[in-house]
Amino acid sequence: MKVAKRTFDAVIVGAGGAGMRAAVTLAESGLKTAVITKVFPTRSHTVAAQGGVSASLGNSEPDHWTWHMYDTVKGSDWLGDQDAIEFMCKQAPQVVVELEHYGMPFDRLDNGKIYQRPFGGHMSNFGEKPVRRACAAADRTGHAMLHALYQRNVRANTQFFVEWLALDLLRAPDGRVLGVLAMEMETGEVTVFQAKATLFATGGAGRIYYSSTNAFINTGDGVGMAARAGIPLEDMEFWQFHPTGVAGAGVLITEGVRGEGGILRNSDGERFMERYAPNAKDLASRDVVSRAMVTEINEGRGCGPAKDHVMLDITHLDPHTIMQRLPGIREISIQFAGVDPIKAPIPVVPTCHYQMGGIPTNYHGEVVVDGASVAGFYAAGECACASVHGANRLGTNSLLDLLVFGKSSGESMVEFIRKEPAALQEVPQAEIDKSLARVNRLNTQTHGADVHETRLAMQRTMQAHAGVFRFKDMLQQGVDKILEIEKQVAQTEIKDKSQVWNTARIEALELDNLIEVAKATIVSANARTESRGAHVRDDAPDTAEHPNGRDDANWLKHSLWYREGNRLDYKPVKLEPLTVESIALKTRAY
Amino acid sequence: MYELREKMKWRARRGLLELDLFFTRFIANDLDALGEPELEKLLDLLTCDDHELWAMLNGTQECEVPHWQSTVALLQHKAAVTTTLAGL
Ligand SMILES: Cc1cc2nc3c(=O)[nH]c(=O)nc-3n(C[C@H](O)[C@H](O)[C@H](O)COP(=O)(O)OP(=O)(O)OC[C@H]3O[C@@H](n4cnc5c(N)ncnc54)[C@H](O)[C@@H]3O)c2cc1C
Repeated sequence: MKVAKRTFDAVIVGAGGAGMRAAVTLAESGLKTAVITKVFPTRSHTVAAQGGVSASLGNSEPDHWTWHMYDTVKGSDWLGDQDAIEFMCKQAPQVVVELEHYGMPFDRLDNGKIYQRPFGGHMSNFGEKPVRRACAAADRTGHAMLHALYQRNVRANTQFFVEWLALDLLRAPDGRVLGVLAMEMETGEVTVFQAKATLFATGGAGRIYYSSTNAFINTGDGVGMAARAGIPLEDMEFWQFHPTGVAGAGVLITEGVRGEGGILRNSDGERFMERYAPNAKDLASRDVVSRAMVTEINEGRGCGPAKDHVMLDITHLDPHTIMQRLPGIREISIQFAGVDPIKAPIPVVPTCHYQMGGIPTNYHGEVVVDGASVAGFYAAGECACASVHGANRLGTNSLLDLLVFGKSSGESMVEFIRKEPAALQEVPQAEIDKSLARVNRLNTQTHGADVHETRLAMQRTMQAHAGVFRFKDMLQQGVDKILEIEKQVAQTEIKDKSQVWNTARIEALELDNLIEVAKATIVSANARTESRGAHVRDDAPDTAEHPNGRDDANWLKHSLWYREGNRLDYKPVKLEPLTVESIALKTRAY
Repeated sequence: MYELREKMKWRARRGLLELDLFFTRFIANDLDALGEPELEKLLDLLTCDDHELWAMLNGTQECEVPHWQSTVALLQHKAAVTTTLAGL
C-alpha cells in the first residue's frame, strides 16, 4: 500500500524533556526538525516530576562534579558506565544554567542564585554528608521545564506533530535508520516520516507493572519499536520501585510524608521498620523500605482483605502540619484510597517508578549495537540506557539525564546530518508493509483476546513475578507466563474499527510495545543470578563473599536482550571515565 | 458526538497519573450521558495544564474561568470521591 511521506533533516519521537531539549539544538542549528508526540508536549510525563534536577552548582555550599559523579556511580551499584556518568555530571551545571536562560523559573536564594535542596544519595566530598544539589521550581519542576523548552522550540520553528502515534522504526537493508511510520489520531491516516537522523525520546514503560506511579501514556513505545527493529535492549531487569504508592492506584506519596513523621505499620499495627532498620526506621533508603514492606506482606502481615498492602500512618500528626507541610497528600489519599489520612492510615505498596534500562546508547546519544553506532539512530531520556543510572537511579538524576543527553544527541545529530548527502535513500516498501500489517491485523482480527484483560494479565504477572523482591522459581514461572501472554497479545481484538480517534486501537498498539518490555525485563531478571541495585534476588543473599548479594566476578556486565530468539548477550561495563580516575568497586552502603 | 467522545477519551490521557485515574472513573460511568455542548466544554477544559486541572478538580484551587465552572462542578460531582476538603 502506498502511504504519504514527509521528509525532514531530523525526526524526534517524543516531546518530553529529552525530546524537546534535543529539538532546541537541532532547530536552532537551522535544520528542518519534526517532533512527533502522542500527547500535547506539555502533557508529557515529565510534567509529573516534582523533586528537582541535580547539578553541582555549589550555590549554597561547596560542591563539585566529581562528588556528583561518585554518588552516581555508587548509586548505580557500579553498573553505570563511568565515561557517560563523568560526561553527565560535568555537563550538569551548564545545562541547568542554559535552561535558566530559556526561561525556567527556578527557585532562588536571596542573592539571586538558583536555590538548591538536599536529595537522597547526593553527598559532598565523596559520600561524606548530604549536599544541596537539587534545583527545583517549587513542586512543579518538570512542568516548568516542559514549558520553557516548548516555548524555546516554538521560537526556533520546530514543527510539532501532536496526537500522532509512531508505529515502527524504518530501516534500510544495511541497518541505517530512515525514519518512522506514524498514525495521525484524528484521521487514522498513516504517514512515513523520513529523516537523515531519527531520535527516540519516548519515555519509560512503567505501565508493564500493575502498580505504577507512571501515567497511562508510559507504554514504552520507543523501546518496543526498537526491539521489533532488531535493536537489543540493555539492562531491562533494573526497575526502581518507590515504597509508597497508593495501593490499587499507584499514585506516589512522597518521601516527605515519612520525613514529617509518617509511620509504616503492618496488620498487627506494628511499626515494622524498627526491626529492619533500627536507626533510620521509616526513613531508610527506598530499596530497604520497599523490601521490608514486601517481606511483611509475604509473611502474612499485610493489611486489607487480600493482605496485599501495608499502612502509612499519619493520624498522630497535627492536621495543620499535614495541610501545610504535605500539600496534595490529603487529596490524593481521599481520591484514590478513599480515606482521609487525618483520620485513618493510607494503604500503600511498593510501586514501579523508573526504568533504568533501555535502548543502548553512548554518551553522544548514538544507538550502539555490537560496538558500532547504528547510522541515523539516536535515543535519549528514560527510553535510553546511556548508561548513567546502572542498577539504580538517584533521585533528580533523571531530569538531568534528559537535559544532558537530549542536548548531546541533538549535537551528534546536527554533525551527522551535515555530513549526509542531500538526497534521501528510498524507504523499502517491505518495511512499511511490515508495520502496516500490524495495524491491519487489528482491523481484521476476530475471536481475539481482549486488550484490557490481556494487559492486566501481563501487569499482574510482572508485579507478582518480577517485583521488588525476586525469587528463582517465581522468575522462571513468570517467564513462562509472559511468553503465554505474548501469544494473546498477538491476537488482540478491538470491537471498534473506526479510523478516527480510536483509543481502543491505540491501546492495542501500545500493548504490542509493553509486551516487548515485559519480556525483556523478566528474561533478563531470570538470567541475572546476583543481586545488584534494584534487582534483588532471594537466592543471592548478603554474604561476606558477596556483600548485598552482588557478584562482580560474574555479573559486572550489562545485559542485552534480543527479541529475535528471545536471547541474551552481555557487554562489559565501562569502568574508565573520560578524564578522571576510575571509581573503584566497593560495597554500596549508606 | 461519537467523534467528540472518542477525542475526549484520548485527551483524558494525561501526564499526571492522578488525572488518568480520575477520568477513567468519569469515562466509565458518565461520559455517555454528556450532550454535545457539555462535551465541547469538557474538551476545552482539557486544554488546561495538568497541575492546574488537577487542583481545580480536587478542589484545592478555584476555577477562575467562568466558562469552565459548570464543567468542573459536574466532574467533581460525578467523579471526585469528595469535594469537601476544606474546613478543618
Ligand atoms: C511521579 C514521578 C515523579 C518524578 N520526579 C522526578 C524528579 O523530581 N526528578 C527527576 O529527575 N526525575 C523524576 N521522575 C522521573 C522523570 O520524570 C522521568 O524519567 C522523565 O520525565 C522522562 O522524560 P522523557 O523525556 O524521557 O519522557 P516523557 O516525559 O515521558 O515523554 C515521552 C514523550 O514521548 C511521546 N511518545 C511516547 N510514545 C510515543 C509514540 N508511540 N508516538 C509518539 N509519541 C510518543 C509522548 O507523547 C511524550 O511526549 C519522576 C517520575 C515520576 C513518575
